[in-house]
Amino acid sequence: MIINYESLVTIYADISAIILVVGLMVLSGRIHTKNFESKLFLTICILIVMDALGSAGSYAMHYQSPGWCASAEMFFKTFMEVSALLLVFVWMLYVDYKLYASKDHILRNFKIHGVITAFFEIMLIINPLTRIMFTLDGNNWFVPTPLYHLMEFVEIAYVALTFYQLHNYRKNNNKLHFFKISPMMIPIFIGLLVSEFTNFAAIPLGLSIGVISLYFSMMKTFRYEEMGTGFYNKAYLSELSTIAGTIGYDYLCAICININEEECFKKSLIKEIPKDREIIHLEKGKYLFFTDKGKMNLIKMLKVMLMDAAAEYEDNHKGVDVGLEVLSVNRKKNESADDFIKRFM
Amino acid sequence: MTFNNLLNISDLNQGTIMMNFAAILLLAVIMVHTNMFRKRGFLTDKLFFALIIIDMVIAVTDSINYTLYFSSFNLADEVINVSDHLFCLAVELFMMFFLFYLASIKSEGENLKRKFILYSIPMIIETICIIVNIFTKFMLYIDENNNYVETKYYVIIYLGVAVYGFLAAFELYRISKGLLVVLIAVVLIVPLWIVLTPDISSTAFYYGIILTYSHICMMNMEFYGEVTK
Repeated sequence: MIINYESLVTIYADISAIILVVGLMVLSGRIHTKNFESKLFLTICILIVMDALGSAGSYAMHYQSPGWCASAEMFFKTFMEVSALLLVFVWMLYVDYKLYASKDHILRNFKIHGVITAFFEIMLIINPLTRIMFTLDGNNWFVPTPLYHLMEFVEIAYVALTFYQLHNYRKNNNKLHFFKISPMMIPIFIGLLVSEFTNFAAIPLGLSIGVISLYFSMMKTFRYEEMGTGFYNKAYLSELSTIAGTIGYDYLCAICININEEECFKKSLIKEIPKDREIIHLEKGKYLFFTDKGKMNLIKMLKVMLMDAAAEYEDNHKGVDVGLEVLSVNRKKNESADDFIKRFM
Repeated sequence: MTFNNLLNISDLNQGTIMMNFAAILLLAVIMVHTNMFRKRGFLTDKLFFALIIIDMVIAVTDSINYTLYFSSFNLADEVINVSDHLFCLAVELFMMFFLFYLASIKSEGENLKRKFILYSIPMIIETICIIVNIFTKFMLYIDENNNYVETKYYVIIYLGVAVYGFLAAFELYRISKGLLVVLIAVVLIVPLWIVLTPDISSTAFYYGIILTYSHICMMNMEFYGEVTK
């Protein structure tokens, strides 16, 4: 078996990438929590491993002379391309879910993308028979067809869409989110550059470092979240204030909820408070979230619903005083958004 | 003109340089994402930071060596000589600090001090050997073609790493059996790599993988959970 140095280094890099990602999958308890987000993250990890396997396999077969090696290379290349396209598609869904935390939002917005992806996946799967996407010439060199270039364009468009989603989220929702795609994108970009300017393929290695970086970046944000409830802790306020100061969030109103019987009432509170709100648990029995003036009807409705839930709780638990109080605090005319937030720290 | 042509690097050394570059990227990622932990000022966090820096030194010195092997550059042999000795020292130092890091997770006070003193002994012996080698060239030297040559006594370096690895396995057994199993799997793969790919050196990358795994594992422990408060 002949493997030249370029192939050997690429295989080495691909297997290193597999070791890195498999270790993350085995050791991280967080990505085995069986919620939709962790399932998407786990899928991304598996697709990176598949992509690296495809890349290593195709490089191993590239300089071999027996006839079956050309077929094996075609198989590995197909495997790699199928994984790569799926990876970009799942990454796009993952970014959307990180921002909106809604499966419905994904179903509403990504039906057409799903159809396009499925079309190209089918084309890739039947490619070894039809050669509709790419073929290998007499020296086993890769020869793409126009349809393959179209698929590449779609992949680039999906990646661009993730940037657009992130930009659009801030613009439309005027809301803070901790999710950043740069930890994933920068190593991939460096991997692409290395592949471009050297004789080796380093994209799977870039992907693996990217996914590790993304995981570490996510772990950092957990310090703002309370385990179990999904509420934010007080440290979130200082982060919110810093970001409001730098990119100008325009919070006009703070809703404060004070409860005496916090432990018994927590379940009702989680049920009644809108899911898309960042609820900050300031201290025992004190909750807070920020909104703008246009949402005052929502606040009134929330107040009524919480009062009803409190009354029902008191009826069911005789002698218990929930002591619920819902207050709205408005921003002063000349007060900046970050100063307004600092008032509650 | 490609990157390799630009630096006139020997064809057989480009893979090592790429893997070291990947190691530096991985270490930079770990460094950026652990800044929050370092702010706590715990001994464990300081040791982890030291491990990142030492591994970066390994990656840089290894890259310098592989860039200059077979080079016609005038001062190449002197630079490789310094860089090679630094590399050997850093490889040992990494293992010692990794052991200190593991020991500091569950031990403290006098017990920890005793462990640190005990664990420093192999490092002191290795350092003496490396210093003696500068004058006697009994372990490794650079020949007239600027090629790196290891003698049979170079096994001392591997022995030092093995001793620290063995002690680290004991410490890990107390801390996280899951991490121990995964690291043993990695350690078993590495010798296979060395045999199959003698022209590619990726010590820094594999040390980077050990740091990544350790960080993932420790972040999920109650000990690291304190940072969320």
